[in-house]
Amino acid sequence: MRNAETGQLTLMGLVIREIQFRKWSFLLAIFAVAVAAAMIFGSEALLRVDQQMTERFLQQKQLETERYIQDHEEQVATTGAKLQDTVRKQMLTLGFNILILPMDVDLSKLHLDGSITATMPYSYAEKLSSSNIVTVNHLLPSVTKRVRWTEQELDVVINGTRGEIPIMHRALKQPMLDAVAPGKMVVGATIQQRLKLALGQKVTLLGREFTISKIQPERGSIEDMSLWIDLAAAQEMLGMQNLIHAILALECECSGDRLSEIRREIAEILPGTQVIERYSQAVTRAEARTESKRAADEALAMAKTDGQATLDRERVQRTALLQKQQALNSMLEPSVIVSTCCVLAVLAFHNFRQRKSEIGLMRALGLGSASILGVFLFKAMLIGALGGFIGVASGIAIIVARILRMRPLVSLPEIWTSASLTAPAAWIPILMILLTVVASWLAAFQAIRQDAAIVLQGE
Amino acid sequence: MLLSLEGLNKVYSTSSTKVQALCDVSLSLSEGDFVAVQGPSGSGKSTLLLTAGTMLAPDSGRVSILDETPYAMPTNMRAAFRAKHIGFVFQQFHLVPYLSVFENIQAASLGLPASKRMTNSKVEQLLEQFGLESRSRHTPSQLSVGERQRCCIARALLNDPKLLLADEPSGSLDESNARIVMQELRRFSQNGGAVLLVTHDSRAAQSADRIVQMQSGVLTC
Ligand SMILES: Nc1ncnc2c1ncn2[C@@H]1O[C@H](COP(=O)(O)OP(=O)(O)OP(=O)(O)O)[C@@H](O)[C@H]1O
Ligand SMILES: [Mg+2]
Repeated sequence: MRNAETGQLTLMGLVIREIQFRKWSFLLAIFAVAVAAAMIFGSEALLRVDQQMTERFLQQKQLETERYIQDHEEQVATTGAKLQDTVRKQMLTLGFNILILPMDVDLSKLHLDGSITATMPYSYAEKLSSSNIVTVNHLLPSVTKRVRWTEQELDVVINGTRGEIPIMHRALKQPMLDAVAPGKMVVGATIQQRLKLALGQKVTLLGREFTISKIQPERGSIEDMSLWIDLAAAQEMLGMQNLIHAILALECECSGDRLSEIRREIAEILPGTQVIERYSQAVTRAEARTESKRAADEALAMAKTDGQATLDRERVQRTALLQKQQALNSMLEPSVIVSTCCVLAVLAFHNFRQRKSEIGLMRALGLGSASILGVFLFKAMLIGALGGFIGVASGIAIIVARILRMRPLVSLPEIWTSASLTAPAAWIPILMILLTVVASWLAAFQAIRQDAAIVLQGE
Repeated sequence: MLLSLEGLNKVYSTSSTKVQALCDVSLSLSEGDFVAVQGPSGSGKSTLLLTAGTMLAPDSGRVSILDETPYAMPTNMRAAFRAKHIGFVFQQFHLVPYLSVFENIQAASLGLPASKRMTNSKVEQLLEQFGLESRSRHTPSQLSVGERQRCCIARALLNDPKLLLADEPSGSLDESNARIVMQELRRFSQNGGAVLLVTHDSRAAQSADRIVQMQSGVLTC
């Protein structure tokens, strides 16, 4: 290594020659620096990459949880809608219905034999229909009386019903129940069985002729012993012109606790009446369905909190792991630096001992302290730079291999940027140069301090 | 006066003992002088050379070279002065083990400013002069002791110093080699330099113009 133009030996050339001569200790020093650089870069980069991966993992988990919850929400919503529909249909067929009765009706008697003892004017039905009532939909005034079907020697409950009275303030809906047309008769199951009646058969009831138009299925109640005829005919037959026993309100927009509201509303319009539920099993079912909807909602809420809890637990665990890793790094890095410093200092000192005579000669040849210091520190910088680059390069190789193994999840340039690995890749070689210079300082200082005369006299 | 030593004293003190290596030593060399210092081992010959060579400050006394007092100079200036004017031939050679013969001779110029460094043709000339052309690419460990010694002298002569300080340059040489070395030293002094030669070999001392005796740090003519 000479000056390129003149071919003269330079101090830098001297350093290179010395390195070539003592290449093994030079390589050993570089190896020590490279290991340290690789460890520091590796631990640093690993931490950063892991942080990024954790972030990503948690984000994905969050997304999954959210998607799961959303799916479930949709499911619950559709189920709920279906349920509501079912309930509504159920209401239509079974009818969540109420019966408006005069106040002084004996309810036990009604339940027992279906007869109602008190009456109210027919105008009540009209009054209700022309009111602003919102809680009931279809109004069916009726008379109900237990009588002896003299022609058949049978006690029956006669129900006189008419078509629906439309509620005035609302658009007319499809009538809920077909009224029993004049001259027709609907009979309960028991009556049909006892009298062996058939559809279209003509029967005489209290002197009037009716045609059987419908047979009700068995209900296990007083209705099995009931028959239905046109309201006007019934009123005439029972001597109850312009009187009714009850108003049946069908498809009430109510469930459970809204009954009290209906009661209040009806009591305001029709004083002296009472309201009872008719097919209360409908309510039970509606309630059951409401309950199941509530349970589904609850399950969903639980899934939400569960998902969040799992996520939170995961986050806590991962954060703890990262913190542990960070703590380890914060211990690893200084100890790697210190031990590498020691190794380098020993190597530098050994090098100085080997070169004592050479340094004495340099002095005799008139080299100043700066040149001698320069020779030692230049070598140290070379070691630091080469070791740093080799170490960081191998660290990068390891990290890149690790990232590539997770490739479907992340792309290398993307994680490299987001984990900002360029910074440690740049500052670690610089740190290593500083480290070797500092570690070699003592030896270099000894070199310029040594008494050349003593060395030159001795071996 | 090229070299003037006046009343030099040097004591090496260790924790237990004190050795008076130089005791009121005075000596003068002019251009063209070839002086041999003879004396038994441990008499202070090497100490005298290092002191004269501005490498070892005396406890007392005055060293002046070319009418300058190098020990009064700051260290770096003295180093530069030494590089320019003084050539050393060491008893232990002190060749740089990782440099070739060529480079070892070249290395003498390292202490000079880059512009004043000697050219390679000067190195080649010295190689030829000392019969080392065929050894130019060898490292010191590949040389015989005599070749090392010659390499050492060639190095000392590269910068055309005024003063050549040679410590036992023929100590490890056979007769013919020793004769070559002495001839070179003689030629150096004849060309206007001054040579201070240390030897305990009286035959070698015969080549010098003047022989002084050294005994326990005391110089006698
Ligand atoms: N650094 C030192 N510390 C203590 N004593 C020293 C030191 N250097 C030399 N001496 C002593 O000083 C004395 C003179 O030493 P010096 O090397 O000058 O002798 P010398 O005449 O060159 O001997 P030789 O012919 O064996 O080379 C010796 O007794 C030596 O032991
Ligand atoms: Mg000696």
